[in-house]
Parts: sequence; C-alpha cells; structure tokens
Amino acid sequence: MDRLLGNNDSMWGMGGVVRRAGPAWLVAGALAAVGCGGGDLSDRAVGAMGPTAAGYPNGNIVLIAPANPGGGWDQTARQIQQVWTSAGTLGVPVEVVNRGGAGGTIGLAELVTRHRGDPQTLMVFGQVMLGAIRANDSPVTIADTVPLARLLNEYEVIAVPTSSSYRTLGDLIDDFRREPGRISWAGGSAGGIDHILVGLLARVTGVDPGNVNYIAHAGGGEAAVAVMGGHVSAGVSGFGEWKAYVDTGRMRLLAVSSAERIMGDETPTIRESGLDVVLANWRGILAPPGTDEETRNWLTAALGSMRDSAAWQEILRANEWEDSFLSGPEFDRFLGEERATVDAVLRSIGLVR
Amino acid sequence: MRPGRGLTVTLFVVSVVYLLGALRISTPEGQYAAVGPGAFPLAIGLGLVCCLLWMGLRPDRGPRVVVVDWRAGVLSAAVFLIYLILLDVVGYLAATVPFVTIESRLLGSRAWRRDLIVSVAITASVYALFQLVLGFRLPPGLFG
Amino acid sequence: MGALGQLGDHLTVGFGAALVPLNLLFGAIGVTMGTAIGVLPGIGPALTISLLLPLTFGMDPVGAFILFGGIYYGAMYGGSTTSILVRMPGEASSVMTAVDGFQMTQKGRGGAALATAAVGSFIAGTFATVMLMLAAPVLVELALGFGPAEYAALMVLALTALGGLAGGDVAKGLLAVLLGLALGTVGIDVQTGQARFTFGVLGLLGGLNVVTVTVGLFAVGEVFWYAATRQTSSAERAQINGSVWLTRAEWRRSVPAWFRGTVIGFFTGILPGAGATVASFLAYDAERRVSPMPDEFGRGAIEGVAGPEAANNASAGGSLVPLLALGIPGSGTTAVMLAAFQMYGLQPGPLLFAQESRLVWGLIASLYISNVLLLVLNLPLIRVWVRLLQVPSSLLFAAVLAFATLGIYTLNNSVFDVFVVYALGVVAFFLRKHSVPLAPVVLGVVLGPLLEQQFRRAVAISGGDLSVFVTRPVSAAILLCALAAVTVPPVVRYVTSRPR
Repeated sequence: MDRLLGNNDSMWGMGGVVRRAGPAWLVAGALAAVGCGGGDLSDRAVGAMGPTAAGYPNGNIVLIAPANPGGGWDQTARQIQQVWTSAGTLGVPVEVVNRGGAGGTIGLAELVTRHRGDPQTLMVFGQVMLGAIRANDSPVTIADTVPLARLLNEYEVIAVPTSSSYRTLGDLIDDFRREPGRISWAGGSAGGIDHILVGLLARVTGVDPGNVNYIAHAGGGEAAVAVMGGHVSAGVSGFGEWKAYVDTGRMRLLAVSSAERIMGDETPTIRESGLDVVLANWRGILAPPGTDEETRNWLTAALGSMRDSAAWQEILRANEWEDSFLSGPEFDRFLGEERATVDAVLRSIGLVR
Repeated sequence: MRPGRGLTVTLFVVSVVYLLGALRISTPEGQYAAVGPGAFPLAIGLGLVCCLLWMGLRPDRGPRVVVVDWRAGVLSAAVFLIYLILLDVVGYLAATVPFVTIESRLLGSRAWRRDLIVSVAITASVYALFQLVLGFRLPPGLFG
Repeated sequence: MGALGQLGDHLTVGFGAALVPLNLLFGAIGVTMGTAIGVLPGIGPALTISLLLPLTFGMDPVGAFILFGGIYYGAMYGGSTTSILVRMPGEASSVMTAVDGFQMTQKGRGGAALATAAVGSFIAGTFATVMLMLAAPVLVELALGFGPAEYAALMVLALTALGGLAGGDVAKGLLAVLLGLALGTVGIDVQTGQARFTFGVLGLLGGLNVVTVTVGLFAVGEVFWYAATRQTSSAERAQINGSVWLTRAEWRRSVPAWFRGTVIGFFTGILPGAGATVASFLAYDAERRVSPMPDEFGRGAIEGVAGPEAANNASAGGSLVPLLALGIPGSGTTAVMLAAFQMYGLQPGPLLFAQESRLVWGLIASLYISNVLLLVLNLPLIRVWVRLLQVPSSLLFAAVLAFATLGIYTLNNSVFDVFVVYALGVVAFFLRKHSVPLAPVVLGVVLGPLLEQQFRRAVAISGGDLSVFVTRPVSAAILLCALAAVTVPPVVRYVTSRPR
C-alpha cells in the first residue's frame, strides 16, 4: 500500500515513528481517525537504515506481487510492506503492485525488461515460478535477475474427503500403485507445486507419471471444493490453506510434505509412509538485472532486519509459514538445485519436453 | 461485392487460421488428458467456419443502411491510439488533458475552452482520488 | 422458539456493534466508493478492498466489515448506471442490463431503469443476507454437491440464453457467441499448462480478462461508432420523459422480476466460481421466457433490467455463503475478503454461526446496514445520474475513453491490456456495422472457459466416460432444461401458427 493516507509521504516510518499527514480528504481522514488507535503489528524496535553511499533508495520502493490480489505472493508482498513500513526500515515508502498471470512469468518479464538496472522495483517470487518458467517456455528466467533472499517455506498437504475409505497415505498409495488412472488428484494449475508433488509421488512409487489423473484447478480454494464435495479421490494444496478446512469436518489430511511433523499438528509426514518425498513451497525476493553489489547487500540487510523483527515472526506464525531465510551464494546454489529438480519432474510428467 | 461480404470474408479467413491453430495444439500423453486442450478450439473453429459459410451462402437479407463517415471515425480512433502510446511516455496527467480536449473536438464539440476546463477538472480529480487517496499506480511518465 | 430467541440475541449484539455513528459513516463511504468504482469501467471491488485493507489495520473490525460490504454491494449496483444510461457496461455482470436498460433510456425511462436496479439490488442483497444467516449449512451441502459435470451442464443451460440475444438473426447471434468462445480459449490451458493462440505474446498468456473484453466491445466500440456515424445518423440523445421514478405499471412488472432474479442469482452465487455474470445471463433468459410479451425484450422491457440487476447483487450475497460457512472464496473479491476476515481473527467455517461473537454478528448486521445505505444513498442519486444525459455526447465520450483507459490500466498495471481494449473496440465497430449483436460475444467469453474446464474435469475424473453428464441426476436434469429451452419454443410456434 503506497501513499497510505493521501499524500506522497503520508505513511512511512521516520526513526520508528509512523508519520501520518495528508489532506483531510473524507476517507483518508475518517480512516486515519480510527487507524491511529494503534493495535497494529508495527515493531518499533527495528529502526531505519540509512541510504547507501550511492544514494539508494531514491524514492518509493515498488514491490511487484506477480499474482492477483488474495493469493500467496500477494499476501507475502503485503506482509513485507507492512513490516517494512511500520518499522520504517527503508526510510522510503513501499508500494505493492499486482502484476498477475501465467504463474508469475508476466511479472518476471516486466521486471527484467522494464526495470533493468533500476532496483527501486523488486519482486516476490517462489517455487511455483520455476515450474511456470519451464512450462510456459518463458523468454526470461530467474538467471536474468538478481535473487536477494528466500524468506519462508510453506509445506504441501495431501487430503481426502471425510467420506473416503482411505485412512492413511499408505492406503491411498496402494490403490494409486495398482490403478493410477482411478485415483483423481485435485490441485492447482498444471505444472504448479501441487502437480509436482503428485509427480514426485508417482516417481517414488513406480507409477508411470503419464498415467497420473491430475485435475487442475484455478486455485487451492477451487480444489478444496472438489475434495470436500467428494468429486475427486484426493487433493493436494498448501498446508496453511487447507488446515482450516479440516474443521469443516469434510476433509481429512493424510500427510504433509515437510521433513518433520509441523509443530502443533498431528498430520504425519510423507516420509513416515516410507516414501522419500520432501517438498517445500518457498517464497523469496528478487531484484532486477543490473543491481549492483552494494545495493544488493543493502537490500539483503533490510530483509535480514525484517526477518529478525518480532512483527515478521508473528506473521510467519499466523500464516503457518516456516522461517527459511537464506541469502547470498547459498541462496544462488539452492536456486540452481531447485531448478534442476523442477525440470526433471516436469519432464517426467510430460509437461516439458 | 455486396455489402456485408467484407466482414464475412475477413472473419472466414480468421476462422480458418484459428482452426489451423487448433489442429496444431498437441495433446500430452497420459490419462489426465482424456479430452485434450485442442478439442474445444477445434469444435469452435469448425462452428465458426460453418456459421460463416452459412452467412455467406444464404440469400441476401438486405443489410440495414448505415452511412459511415470513415474520415471522422479513423481520425478519432487515431487520436485515441496516439493517446495510448503517449500515456506510457509522458504519464497520465500530461497525456489525458490534451487528449480529452482534442477528442471531444473531433467528436463534434466546438466549445474548446469549456472542454479544456472540464478535462483538467476530471483528470485532476481522478488523479487525486486514485493515485493519491487509493494508491493506484497511474502511468507516471515525465511528471509522475 | 429458543433458537429464534437466540438469533434475536445475536442480532441485538450485532446491530449494537454496528449501529454506531462512526460505523454508519464507514458504511456511507463504502457504498459511495463502491458505486463509484462500479460506475468506472474496469476498476473492481477486489482491487479496491485490497488497497484499503492496510488502511483498516487497527480499526474496529465491524467498521471495516461495513466498509467492505458497502464496497462489494455498491460495486455490483454501480455497474448498472453506465449500462443503462449510455450502454457502456463496466463489468461483464451488467452487460445484460445494457440491452434493455439503454432502450429504456432512449424511451425516456432511464430514471425508472435506475430505480428498478436500485430497489432490485436492495431486495436481492437483503434476501441473500437472510438466507446466509438462516440456512448457510444446508446451502453449503447444495454447493458441494455440484461437481464438474453439474457445472458443465449449468453452462450449457446458460448458453441457451443466446436465443434471446440474437435479435432475430440466428446466424449472426451464433457467429457472435462463437467469436466469444474463440476469444475465451486464448491463454494458458489450466489442465495442461499449454499456451493456446498466444502467438508468442507474453501479455496474452494470462488470457483475455472478461472486463477487458466488455469495456473494449461496449465502451470503446460505442465511441468509435458515434465518431463515425454522428453526422450521418439522425438519432437524438434521449432525455427523461415524465417521472424519474417508477410508474404503477413499472412497479407491477418489476416486483416479480426482482424476486425471480434474486432467487436465480442467489443460488448461482453460492456455487463457487459460477459468478455474477452467469447469474445475470440466466436471470435475463428466465425473464424473457416467462414474459407474456417476449418480443419486447431488447426493446426496453423493464423486467430485462430488474431481473439481471437483482441477480448480480444476489449472487454477490450468495458467494458469501461458501466464504463464511467453509472459508472458500468463490471470486477475486471474496478471496480478498477472506484475507480481511482472517486478519481480524474471524475464522470462517461451520462453527462460525454457533459462536456468540460480536465479530460474526457484527458482520451480519453490517451486511444488512450496507444494503440499506446503498438504497438510501442511491435513490436520490438517480436524479444526479440522469443529468449525465445532458452532458454533450462529444465531451462525455471523450471522457469515457479516458476513464476506460484508466480502469483497464489499473486492472493489471499494464499498457498492453489497454491496446487489447483498443483492438476490441475496432472489432466491435465492424461487428456493429454489420448488425452482429455484441452481448453474445461476452456470453461466449464468460461461459466458454468455464464450460470447457468443467467438461474436461468431469471426463477426466470419470476416466474418459462421457455418460457422466446423463447418469448424474442433477446434471441430467439441467441438461434436460437446456434441451427444452432450445426445442420447446420453435415447436410451440409451429403448432400455434399452423392454419387450422
């Protein structure tokens, strides 16, 4: 949210104090009157970072969420904005701009082609984008950008309708192995992380990935309807997103894709069923090509200071996200490995030739 | 060529191109593609071709007479196009004010002074509401 | 009695929380903003709410809910204004309103059309909230029973609305809907991830946005048309004849249409993903079929405004059922609202209504209040809106181009979309020159992708067995209705016109 209250400089921290000024326009005024009451997640412990020697940042920082409002990338971008803004870390206002479509590759193309050498614009990205780049044959890739950091992991969950006869992942996998075509899997878009998890399950159980009956949906909510209505045999989506549906009594979680059980939850891991599959849907931040080393370090430090804040840790907890902060050469290496994995799975599912 | 044929012929060509495109969509192997991504486009393409053949071959219905002033139409469309191109170059404010003034003149207004005032007023109020209050990002350009 | 008493207690708590002056102010702001963004082409409630979300941090949640509810309902209603007055729908869900609404304006009944839309929206929104409060668990059962086969069948039924839109020339109506279906196939195929008809253009990968198509075909196309024909055609700009309010006869015709539209819209709305546009198509078609004067449709039948306008608002209310009872967002706006609810610690789900929470019942109360405010604010505004007709066409249309450009740009912060709108405007001009109707194009763009994806899902789930559509009872029943809709009228016409 840029220009929160009606003026260019209306809401950004200065020395940890949220300054609110601006014309007393009706909405702005009325909202500000109440908004000032506090109670937000602002963390005043983290102070502002001064600009770099080269004078960066020079004006608003724009954070592209390469998805439509409401999704995971959008949420991540707005949470980052929230923490940075209320702590005044950057010393300049932060805006979020949605640039949805095609698994994030449209936003990526914009970052690379229109913001080359202009690190005022940054972008949220994640595991899903790697798949989309390959599946859509995107002309630009992550290699064309300057990755800053990985921020969080979200794990995948496998669920069945409550009425289903499958009590454990083992039961489901037995039938999947016997007659793969009869098990229909609901999940997000083709080639996305949900599809990749099913592809990995097929690979470790020896099922020909070409026989997987994967039913793609526009999002996790739509796929949840297919599961809760009993229209498919099983479904795959993000843990945080589907955990809430268990309370409806219409969905049963069979397994989670993390290495260890998620704290405070009894859902077993896929590994506990004897299948060696661990898959994390991570999200992070990118800078455009041509970002110099000094700016990159400055931004990495700004992300690090956000990560250390109590406000960010609270956001992670509330969203069931796992802190997986990683930056620098380690992050670059990680990205290389991820790309190879995604590539291999997409190839075996037949989505990429 | 009788009136109305030009559109039918153009759309027929477009439909054939669409149909050829549909035929080139390959169906990935595997069960999940029981009905592949090419099936619907194929059906739509065939429908379009048949429909246009029907329209082209049936007896003339005597199209309603609409006299079109091509010069005026093309001119105002061209000005709009220039506006769209300038939008990204000079920004929302700088492009919109002259555009509204010129376009309304092309559309028949002769009160250019009034048009200028109105265009400044609406452009500024839209800018204030969307860019400043709501925080939409309008094309910035030179004055952004 | 105990349950009713409890409900009363809950409502007292809810209204107690909601009915404070500050919250009413938020409601008024929300409704005004909602109406404004509804009037402006392109800018929708989802984006507006997500932009306002951070502003409401630290605010009383009930106040925020009233604000969002007002925006949501206001946007649904606001879309009708430009449809009725200048035949320029800003969203796909008010395309049907443009058909008869604009004809009414030309006959001098634009004020009445706006009034029937406002009252219809109020009735629809209120009914939806009552149903949400009383019957959400049962309704959820209904929504979940709807599988891919049923969705596909429903889309086929909605496609039969074409009959009423073709305007007498079946070939041209068919051409229009096929063009819409073809446009709907552009972009990445959800099931396989393949790009179709994108010609390597990155901006087309995400497909054509329905709003882009609507604004291009109607708003931009209309201006091009006016530019090229204003000196050669003698059409006079309409003014208002008689009262701007509804006459006795108009009331009589509107009331049943409001209720039919409300029911159709509500039940379509509770199906996640079906949406307000499908609801408005179905409602329009239903009105034409039950009307004793079907020939009047397309020439200014007030039922053709009352039905679809009630339907799109009822659908907005209906979509709150899966949102609140299951936590499933059925549209972009509800996805953003879900995020807002969770931010305030309100976890949607089956237990929601059993909770004696100020938050839950404050939300319900805020929905009622938003609706009342919508009516109270918009009825007087009708007089203001109809004065829009006194603005010279030249200036009005130039401004419309600027507004449309702005709206489409903000959809995705992309100039590419603006050029797509331009191209569609040119296409619309030529279609119109050859009297090809434009509403069926939108019908095709909206229904095509839904029909295709659901059809393919149904077939894939059944393992390639096409008989699912007739062996599942609900799907079979809907398909029978569609069949009857297509075959019965010609047969009746044949039988009644046969010389005895």
